Parts: sequence; structure tokens; C-alpha cells
Amino acid sequence: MRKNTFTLLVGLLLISLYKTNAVNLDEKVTDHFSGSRHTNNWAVLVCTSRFWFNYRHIANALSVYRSVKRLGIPDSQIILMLADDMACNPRNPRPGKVYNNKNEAIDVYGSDVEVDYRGYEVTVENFIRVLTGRLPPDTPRSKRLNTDDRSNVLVYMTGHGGEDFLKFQDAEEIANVELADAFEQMWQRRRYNELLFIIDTCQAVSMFQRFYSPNLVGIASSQIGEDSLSHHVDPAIGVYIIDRYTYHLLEFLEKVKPGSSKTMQQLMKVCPRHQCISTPGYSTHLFPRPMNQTLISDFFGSVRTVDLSDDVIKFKPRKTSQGDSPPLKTSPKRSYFSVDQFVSTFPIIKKDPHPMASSASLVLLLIIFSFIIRSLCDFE
Amino acid sequence: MTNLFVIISCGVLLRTWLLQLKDLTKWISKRPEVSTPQTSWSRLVEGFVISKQTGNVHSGDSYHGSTLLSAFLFHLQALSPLLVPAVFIACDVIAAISLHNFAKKFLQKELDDQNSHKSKLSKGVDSILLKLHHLENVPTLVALIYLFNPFTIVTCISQSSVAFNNLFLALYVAHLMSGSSIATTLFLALSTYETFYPVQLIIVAMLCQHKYQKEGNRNAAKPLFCFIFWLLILFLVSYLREGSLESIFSHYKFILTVPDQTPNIGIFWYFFTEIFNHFQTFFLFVFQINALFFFVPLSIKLRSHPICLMFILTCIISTFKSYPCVGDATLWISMLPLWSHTFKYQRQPLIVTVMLLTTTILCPVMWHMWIVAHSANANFYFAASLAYTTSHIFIMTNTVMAYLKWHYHIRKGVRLNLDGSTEKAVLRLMN
Repeated sequence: MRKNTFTLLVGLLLISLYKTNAVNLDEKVTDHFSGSRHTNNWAVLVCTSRFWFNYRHIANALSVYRSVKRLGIPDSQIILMLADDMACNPRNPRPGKVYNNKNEAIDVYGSDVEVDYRGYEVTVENFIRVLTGRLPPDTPRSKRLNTDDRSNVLVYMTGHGGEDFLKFQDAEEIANVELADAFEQMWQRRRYNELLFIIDTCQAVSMFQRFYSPNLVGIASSQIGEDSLSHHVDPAIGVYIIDRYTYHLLEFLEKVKPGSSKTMQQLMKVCPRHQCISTPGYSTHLFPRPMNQTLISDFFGSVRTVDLSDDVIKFKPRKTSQGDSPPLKTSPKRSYFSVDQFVSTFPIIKKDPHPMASSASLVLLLIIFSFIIRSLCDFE
Repeated sequence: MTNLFVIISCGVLLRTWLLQLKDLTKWISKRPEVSTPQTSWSRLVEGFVISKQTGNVHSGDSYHGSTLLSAFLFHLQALSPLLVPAVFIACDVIAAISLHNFAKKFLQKELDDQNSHKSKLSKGVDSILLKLHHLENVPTLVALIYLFNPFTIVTCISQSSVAFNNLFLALYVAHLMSGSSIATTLFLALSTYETFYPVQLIIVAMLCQHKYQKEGNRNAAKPLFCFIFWLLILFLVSYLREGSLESIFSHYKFILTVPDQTPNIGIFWYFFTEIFNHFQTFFLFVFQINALFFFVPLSIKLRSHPICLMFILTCIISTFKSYPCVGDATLWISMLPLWSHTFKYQRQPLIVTVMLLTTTILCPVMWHMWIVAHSANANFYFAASLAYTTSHIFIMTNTVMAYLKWHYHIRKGVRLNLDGSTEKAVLRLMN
């Protein structure tokens, strides 16, 4: 009796220890990094400027595109909107290539770039339609933002902006209220779980000041009244090829590997005033989680959380309304070597001719011949 | 007779020489002016092979002729490959002989008619009357033109089934004068069974029965019943062969609904490629009525001239049918010498003849420019074929009008004044 109780107590202690260990491990993990509910990552990268001298805006967007792809978001989940074509621009002395640094080390265009909205397709209307999902039914998948309520979306915009607006293509503008309303539509239709909005333009902070939907983070390259400046000229190309904020953002992102544990707080330390000349601005009041506990890879990468389990799961046949799903039929494999072997397996639907058919046709033929010969005899 | 023998032997020799030029026959049988979806030899072969699989010779949408003809020709081919060209040459020869005979009988009848009505003829019309030398020369001329017409030669060497159609129609016209309505309607039924349009010619058979037969035999309905009888026999035999009437229906449906718009020298294809779908049925009716309705007013007008009616109906059929080819035209072109005594009253015969020749040459040229050289388009070809059709229309209307004018003038005199008197009017110019 005493032996039994002793072993029971020891067993219970061991079990409780084991259990507490497990609980501690989980808590350790979750304590350090607050888990995000998202299951997939999307990115919308927009360059709104056209013309050769706005080369740097295209290079901005393409650099972020390249980083985001490298960190794991597939092309099918990236909407890249470029308002002009720099790579094949006749003024480009490096045809087919776009560089973001004067050392021309990385070609951010490459051969695997997939531009979804190009040239004059980059309009305010198309941008808002992409965000809200209100596209014509014949729009292909590559041009749709097929997010759901568990998608984390990164929206990066660059171009020329002013106070409360962003210029599209030198012809129209999107206002900050419109952008805020678009994000609200997205929230109401459950089209994002969390959204990171990065904007690199002049007076960029004004663009996220009107946000009112939950789970939004905003990062802007300059305050109201400030201009975001370009970084440097590539003398071989002849134009400014990158903006300051994006240059430093890329410097930061180049050190990020997929599965990295860098936080958003570290991202927000990128490009301080002495480097950027403009003061970056941030908006985190709509975001539930603290920045120092939110991973960059929640937005920039496509990291899947993997649960390892030793349990064995049995898949049962699906019960449908018509009963169980039918078992798989495996037909015997046959190989054919020529068409007529295949054709001969078709049933021939020929009707048998009447037994009198051939005799009837012969009789008819004879009648016709006799008439012809008779008429010939009559003629001569 | 010896003339006819010489002509026939020359025609046969010419055809046998041309038939052994394989490149020529292959090229000609591909030309759209010569072979249509209904008449093409290669389509016939394909249709017969398909009928072995499915029992219906039309099921591959390739061959669109009649089932009995395809069966006959293919069995001939199976017997010996040389038989088929021989049969086509024989078709031409028999058709030429029939037309020769027909011309002789017709002109004899016309001459007898003319002589019996000598009292009604006006004075001074001797120059335009039908004479004996017509009777001697014209039949030979008819056979000559039929055998040596390039249209006929081309039809023969391309093995297009229009040769059979021409044979049946030639035998039909040859029997029109003889009074044997069974023979007449047999050949007309064969021709109608192959292509639907000659059904209009039954009116001619009925009118001929009325005009040319003796008093006791004048039952105008007899040809109609014989025709229906022969047609039913033909349908019955093809039904027995194929096991269903589906083939016959699809054959006539193809002729009447014109689903195939490959270019030919007709008027259907160009129009039906460009009209909107919701007008298609309407214009189908319009075009088919255009081809099928003219026999009503013409038979009323030409009721006492049934052969002239037959001529113009043959012209109308060959011009306005849904898939015409040059072989259709050769039959009535060879009948033109029958009215040589009326040529004086034709309007602009030279222009119209030259128009026919020019457009015949122009059509292949435009085809080459369109299809081979890519420097023209369908409009060029259609314009040339439209001019060809117009020349046909001019010739047929000229001929019939000249014939009717001739009939008028032999009663009223050769020279006429406005008031009907035969005095001369002299115009004096004022200074």
C-alpha cells in the first residue's frame, strides 16, 4: 500500500514536472514573440511616377519587390504596379536592367520580374479596386488581391506626394481620406489580418494620418512640410537611382534572412534624421500588438508556423450528402501505339443495310443503263 | 453522221491525252471553279470511306453529293482504277450524242411548225426564217461545242460529278421531244436526286407533253406522276442501302441551307460570310427563292415555247444554284446554236461574249492573287465571279429576248415603223 502510493506520487510529480516543462517552453516562446494569427502574406507595391527622371521611384518599388520575394512571398501573392517602364526605356543605357545603386551590383529588374499593372494601368481607380477587390469579373488572378481575413498585407507606395495626397502618373491624385476609406473597406470585407503601410514620398506622414481601421501600421519617410530626398546619382545612367529612405530600408532588409527574428521596432529605427535628412514618421496606435514583439517577417516574408506532432491522424472518408465519397477507381493501364488501334475501340454505329439493298441498287443501275442504251440506239 | 463520229473521236482522244497528265488533273481538281463541295472527287472518296465506318456517307461533312452516285463510282473504282476516267469520258460522249439528237429533233419540229404557219408569216421575212442549212449544221455545232468547250473538258478531267448531272439533263432534253415521259422523267429524277434545282424542269416536261404529243396522248399530268414515281424509287434504293433517310435529308439540307462558304463562282458564299446571324435565315430564303421561283412567271410567258423555257431555266439553275461550277454552264452554252437564226436580234452579243471569256480567265487570276500571292482579297475574286455571273445573265436574257423578238418579227415583218406600217420614214435635216 505504501509502495503503491509512493510510486503514484512520484509518477504524478514527474508528470507534473513534465507538464510544467512543456508549459514553460510554450510560454517562453509565446512570451518572447507575440504570435500573429496570419496564415499568408501578400504585398502591394506601387510606383506612381512616370518619366525617365523618376527612375528612382521605379527602382524603389523594384528593390522592395526583390526583397519581399527573397524573403519568401511568391509572385502570385505580390501585386507590382509600375507606372512606367525604365528597363526598356530608350534612354536607358543599360537596356533591360534597373539598378538601385551606382555600383550596379544588383539588377533589381532581372528576368523573373512579374509586373501586374504596368504603364497607364496604374491609376487611382485600379489601385483602389485592387485593394477592395471590386474588379471586373474577367480580371485574371495575377491582377487580383485575393486576400482573406488571415492575410498580412504589405502596402508600399512611392512617387511624388504632397500634403494629404499622392500623385498618380502626373494626371491624378489619391487623397489620404480615400486611402483610409479603401483600407476600411478592406477591413469590413475581412480582406486583411494586419496591414503594414510604407510610403516614401514628400510629406508622406499625411497619407496615413486619416487611417481609422484596426490592425494598421504606417511608416512614412518624411513629416508634413518635409521633402523626402533622393540618395545618389549614377553618372553612367544619368539620373538619381534610389531615394534615401528606401536605400536605408534596403540596407536593413539585406541583412534580414527568412525566418529572422528582427522586430518592427528595429525596422522603425531605419533611416534616422541624420541619414535621411527628412524625419520618418510612424503610426502604430491602430495596431494591437507591441512593435517590439512583432516580427518583420509577419509582413516582409512568408513564414509558415509549423507544428510538429507525434500524434497519428487517421483520415476518414468524407461523408457527403449522397453517402460516402466513392472509392478510387483504378482503370487498367493500356498503351496505344497508333491512332487506328485507338479508333478501333470505338463502337461502330453502322446500321446493317437491308438485305435487298445491293440487289435493288443493281436493278436500278440496270434500268438506267438500259434507258441510256435504248436512247442511244434511238438516236443513231 | 461522219461529222459527229469525227468530233466524238477527237473529243475522246483529247480527254484521254489530258487525263494522263497527272499534274494537270491534280491541279484542276483542286480549283474552286471546277469542283465544289458537292461535286469534288476527293470528297467523294473520303465520304465513301467514312460510310464504311458509320454507314452514312454524309456523316463526315466532307462529301455532299448523293449516296447512289458515290456508291456507283466507288464500286467502279474498286473494280478497276481505269474505269472511272472511262466512265467520265463516256458521260461526255453520250451527252454530246444526246444533245446532237435533241438539236436535230427540235429544229425539225420548229421547221415543221414554221412551214405549217406560213400563212401567218409576214412578207419579206425570208432572211430570218429557219432554213434547212440550219438543220444540217446546227446539231453538229451543238455536239462540237459541248465536247470541245473548255468547261466540259475541265469537268471531265477533274472527275467532278457535274459530268453526270450534265449527262442526265442532256438525256432528259433528248427525250423531251420523243414523247416517252417515263424516260424523260427518269433522267430528270436522277438529276434532281443529285442536285435539287432541276426539279423546276418538270414544268417543261409537262408543257412538252402538251405541245409535242399527239391528241390522244396529251396528259400533262403524266410526266409529273412518273417523275414522283422515279424519285420515290431512287429514295427507296438509297434508303435500302443506308438503312435510314438521314443521308438524303442531310444531302438536301446541305443544298438548301448552304452551310459551306468556301469560295466558288457563285453568289452565295460571299454574302453569307458577312451577314449577321439573325439575318441568315431570311437571306437564305431570298437567295433560294431567287433560284427556284423564276419558273413560275417564265412558264406562264413561255408556255408555247417549252424548249426556250427549258433553256432559260437551265441557265438560271446553273447561275443561281448554291454551289455552281463551270461545268453547270457548259450545258446551256452548247445549246446556244439552236437559236442561231435569232442572233440578229441579240443586243451587244460581242460585248457579252467577250465578257464571258474575260471573266472566265479573270477568276483564276484573282484567285491566285488572293490566295497565293496575298496581294488581293476576297472582294477581287467575288467581283470577277460576279462579272462572270452577270455575263451569264446577259447571254440568257439576250437569247430569250431575241427568240421572242424573232417570233414577233416573222409575223410582223422585218422592218417596222413606229406605227406598225412598213413604209420608210425619211428624216430631212433643216439647214
